[in-house]
Amino acid sequence: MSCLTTVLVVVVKLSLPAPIKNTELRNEFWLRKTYAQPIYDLVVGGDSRIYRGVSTYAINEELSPQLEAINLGYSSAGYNQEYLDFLVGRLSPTGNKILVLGVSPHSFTLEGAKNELYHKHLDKGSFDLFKGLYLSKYLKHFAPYKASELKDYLFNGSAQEVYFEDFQDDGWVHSYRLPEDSLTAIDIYRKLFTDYQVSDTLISNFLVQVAEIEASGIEIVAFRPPTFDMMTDLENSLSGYSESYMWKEMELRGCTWIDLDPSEFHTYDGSHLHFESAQKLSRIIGRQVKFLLDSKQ
Amino acid sequence: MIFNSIEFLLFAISFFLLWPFLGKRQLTRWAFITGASFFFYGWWDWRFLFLILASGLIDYFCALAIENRPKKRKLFFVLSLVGNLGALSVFKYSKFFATVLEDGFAQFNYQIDLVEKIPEFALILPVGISFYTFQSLSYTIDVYRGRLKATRNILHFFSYLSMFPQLVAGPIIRAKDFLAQLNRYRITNAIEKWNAIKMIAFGLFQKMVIADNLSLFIDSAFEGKSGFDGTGYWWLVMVAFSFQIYADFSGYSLIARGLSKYMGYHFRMNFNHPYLSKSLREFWTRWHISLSTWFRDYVYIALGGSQRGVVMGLIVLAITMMLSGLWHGAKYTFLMWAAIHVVLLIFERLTKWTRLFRKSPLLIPIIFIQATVAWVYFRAENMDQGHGIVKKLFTYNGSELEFSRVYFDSIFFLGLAILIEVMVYFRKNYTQIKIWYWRSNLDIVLVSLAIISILFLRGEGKQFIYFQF
Repeated sequence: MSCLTTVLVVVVKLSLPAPIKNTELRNEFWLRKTYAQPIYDLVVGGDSRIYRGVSTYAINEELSPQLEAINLGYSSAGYNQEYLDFLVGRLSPTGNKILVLGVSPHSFTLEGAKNELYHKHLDKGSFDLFKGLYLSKYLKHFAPYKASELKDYLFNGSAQEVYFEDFQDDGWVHSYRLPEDSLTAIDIYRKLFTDYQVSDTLISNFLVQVAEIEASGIEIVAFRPPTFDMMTDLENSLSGYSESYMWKEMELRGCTWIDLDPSEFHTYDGSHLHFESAQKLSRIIGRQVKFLLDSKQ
Repeated sequence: MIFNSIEFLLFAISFFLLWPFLGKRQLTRWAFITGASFFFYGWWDWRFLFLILASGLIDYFCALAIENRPKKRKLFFVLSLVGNLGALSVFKYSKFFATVLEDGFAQFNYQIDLVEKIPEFALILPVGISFYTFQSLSYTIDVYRGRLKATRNILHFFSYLSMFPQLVAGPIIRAKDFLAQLNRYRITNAIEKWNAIKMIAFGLFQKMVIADNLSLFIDSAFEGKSGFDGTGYWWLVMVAFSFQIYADFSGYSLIARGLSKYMGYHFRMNFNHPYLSKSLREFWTRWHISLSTWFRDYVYIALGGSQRGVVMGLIVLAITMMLSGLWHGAKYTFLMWAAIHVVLLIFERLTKWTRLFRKSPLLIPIIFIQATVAWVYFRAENMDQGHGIVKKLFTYNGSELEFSRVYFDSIFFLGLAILIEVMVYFRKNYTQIKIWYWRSNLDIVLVSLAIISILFLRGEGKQFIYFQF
């Protein structure tokens, strides 16, 4: 029996490509973020549009010398004191101290402020941590497949519907989706902003904290993550978020705001940037950071 | 610590490596089982070990006192009942009872605030409290009834009570079956080991491949995240839930039985393909057998069973089922689930309608549908949600099939679960298939396929559903 099982395991491993989503790598990815050390010159924060939309490798392409940088975005992350403290706490006390914040409307809703994914990983027990951080390099070889994935491999030779995610060491998720559908996220966000509006309290608290962070010598670079036109319109009309207000208020507190034209980027689901657009956005951020660093000198 | 985790794998490997050395001598065996089981339970939350200890100590000493002081045996028996049911009431039912009282007073326009006053620790439900409490209770009841001699060794008792394979989610083993088994060390032969491995592999397959892959489909429906709402959709969700809860719990029981078998012990079967039943009465002889027989022996028969006439028999049946519902959880929905079974069981008993069609295989889906509709309340967050889903099941509300594309993965595993039960049905009912199955040594292939599926097709690891009870 053990021989038969071993042979079958080897046959399966050799005949199938790697699973589209490796749950073990995903787990390790989130834990590495959550337990990142305070060694970075540049930290990126925000929600899923940020961890899919900003590659610190691409930011560094614009910089010389390169910075120690990490993307600490989480799904549905919201800007409350705890999350901002977490981001600031990962900056090296002796480094350049640059905080890049993706400021999307959802980050100021009560739903976002729960920071559920961050807490899910922060609250893990010590064995789960050990497993995620040190055993995943072995366990990743046994990451499960989806039945639909196998069906596509068997009958069509390759996956027909792909939600590709490649978890990068810098906290960025290189992602795309086939077939693309810019309307996928629209209904979800319509429902979301019907249930949860942007909270004025969260925004005013955020602005107070931003001022404090700037006062402590940390440079903040902020922008509204570009997304599909319809999504931007929907957010502008339903969420209660005002980009111009945020832009003005953040600049008043000493932040650098990057004005982006959403039509220059493209999303695969109406919300998240295709990896090529993510790299493009990251290079724009990189140039802004370079400008900041040069002007400091 | 849950069976489908790396930490349990490491724990089990360590345990079975040490077992041949520490299992041979009686005292070290009991100490080893108790120590390992406490470690297993304490991994979740060591503070609640004190609850098992307290519950066990009460029953251990009460059972001794029942034997040693015959004149005061009733007093010690009541003490044991109060201790066990008291702990259960505090940790499992305090919020429910407080809510019931609040609701009751509210009917008379009198507002009281009891839930707020419950201490925080009493709101945490210790894993497996219903299982080990019932197990501990059965010990003192059997000693009180004179069917079992109380053990003099406290480690012997605790190795029975805390035995890790069944500690947190059953099967509920009886002291009179198991204390005697614990007296000896058995060297398991190759066939027993093979059977143990088979049970563990099939149990993990049921849990990790079937139940876990169905959960996304079901959870998104009950959390209102799916966006689908048609009649066909809800029927499929409920059929999926029927198989999820079956695979989840039956899987756990199989793993528990396999682990104990590997140690040389025997736990009775806890699930026997309940969805192949041809009556609801039969369903209850195949579903969670250790709990059903517990209620049968200690509640139904104790209250007179069917010996006191038809009407009393039905009343006792209703009481037993409602208590069983309450055992599962302190919510109105569990009572509703039990009430549906009461109504259907009484109807079945009075009309004997299932006997008219006994030979027809059509009875199987009919009984399955009854169980499935009752499961709505078992899974529902509250009564309103349960009523809403039942309404959707029985009112035509479109026949969109788009959900089958979105949830292809879950539906695939639902199909697989149904296929397995159909194959079991044919194997049980057609001798030629049975003979062919045994002759072709299919077990080896099936265990290998189960292991491959666990490795490459497992769903997102979820806790066992029955841990919450």
